[in-house]
Amino acid sequence: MSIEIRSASKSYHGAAVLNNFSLSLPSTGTVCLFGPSGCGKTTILNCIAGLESLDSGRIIGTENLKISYLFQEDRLLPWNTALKNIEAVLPRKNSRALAAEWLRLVGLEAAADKYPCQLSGGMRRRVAIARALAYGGDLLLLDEPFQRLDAGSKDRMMELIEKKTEGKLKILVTHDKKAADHLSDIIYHFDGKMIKILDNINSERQHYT
Amino acid sequence: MISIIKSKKILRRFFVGCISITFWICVWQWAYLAVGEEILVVSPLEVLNRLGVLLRHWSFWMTVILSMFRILEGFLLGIFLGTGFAILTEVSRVGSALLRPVIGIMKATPVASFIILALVWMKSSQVPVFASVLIVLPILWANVSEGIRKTDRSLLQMAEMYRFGRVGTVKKVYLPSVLPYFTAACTTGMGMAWKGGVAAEVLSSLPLSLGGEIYRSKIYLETTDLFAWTAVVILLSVLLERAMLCAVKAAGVRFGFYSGEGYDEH
Ligand SMILES: Nc1ncnc2c1ncn2[C@@H]1O[C@H](COP(=O)(O)OP(=O)(O)OP(=O)(O)O)[C@@H](O)[C@H]1O
Ligand SMILES: [Mg+2]
Repeated sequence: MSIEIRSASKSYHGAAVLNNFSLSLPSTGTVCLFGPSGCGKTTILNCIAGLESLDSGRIIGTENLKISYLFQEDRLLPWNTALKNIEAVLPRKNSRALAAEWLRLVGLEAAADKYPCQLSGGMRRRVAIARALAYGGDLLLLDEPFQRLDAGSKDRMMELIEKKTEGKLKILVTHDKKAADHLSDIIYHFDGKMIKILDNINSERQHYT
Repeated sequence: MISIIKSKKILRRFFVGCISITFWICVWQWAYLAVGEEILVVSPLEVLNRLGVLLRHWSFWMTVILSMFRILEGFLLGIFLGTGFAILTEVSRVGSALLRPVIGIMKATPVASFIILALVWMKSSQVPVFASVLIVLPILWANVSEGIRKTDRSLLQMAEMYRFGRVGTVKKVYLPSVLPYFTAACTTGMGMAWKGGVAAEVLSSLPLSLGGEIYRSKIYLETTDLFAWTAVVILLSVLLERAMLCAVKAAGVRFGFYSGEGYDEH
């Protein structure tokens, strides 16, 4: 599996977000997209996920791919408990026990029967992380995965993600320099048109740490 | 602890309700005394007395049961058809194009026209059913349609990403989103079904029907009877509305989603 974005363009109401943008992704590892707010990071993830279509250009290698998308917003079902939210993405067989195990892994076993509105922002984020991991996609799209998390749980979530998604391709979008550094194999500076590799140039990397 | 607070709340609501009802009965009594003519306003006590007499006759119960079944039949059919139409209009363009004008006409036509037309077309015992259907249907249609349209797009995208499938998406996203709209429509619809159904019974002066009795009390200027039968209609309408809300809520709990009062109650 290798994913390639070929001269992708996309605009909203005449305002170009992606402009003839190309990128070749490796088959495993973590690719980080770094960029200012509003530059089109979520848009490119949505296009890769197939939720939005490009105006022109193509994305190759994502057909029929099982994708775990951790949305920028949590997108939990408000009428389901934390446990049920995770169960919803699991195959029916044994789903309850598996979901409970995932909740334990993100440190929320006590919150299994709580509804999203009864959880704190960070807890909801962890439920969303657990759901994305539980689904077990071959490609992970992580849009600001650690927002609203304290330093301690952020470290634990990073470790969990690394452990549970070994050998899979992850596309990480974050403003968090530490997380980007820690998780990523390649860091791209992205602004919708141009793309710059920051990883192997130490001086430029310095700029961000 | 929570259950104590809750039962306290319920108790308080009950008391407030009682006081409010007592207040309005006092207003009624005052109006009766102020007007001073039995034929215009009857005293509450008189109505209660009359109800006591009526309750002892088997025909009262027959009337109540028959009317209730007619109106419930219309109500349920209206819910069924209204929901079906809503789904059709939201799912298919052709359905939408075909049904939109029909429902527009249905909403705008006076109930009395329906009823009189129905009296020409069908047996008079079917007219109340027909009237209730035609009143409930557009209410359900409008509300359920809106519920479907207002379903959170971001949750639908989530369902697509996590491959809920068609059935899963309907069950886990659409149904819980639409349920509050559906419940609201049922509540309004139940009240309207009674109004329309009884009006149809009056206009068709159907024997063994609540509307028929109201019609008779009008002819014989039996204002006491008119008040008593109206009280029966109000009571039945309120009771059935409550029962229906309980049923919808129970169904929501059974299928794993809740309606109305937020998502924090068990
Ligand atoms: N559905 C939409 N309709 C119109 N404009 C949109 C839509 N989605 C995104 N945009 C525009 O596209 C641009 C990129 O949005 P996007 O959400 O991809 O930014 P982002 O890089 O993810 O930003 P952030 O870091 O703040 O999340 C923004 O200027 C935004 O206004
Ligand atoms: Mg974004």
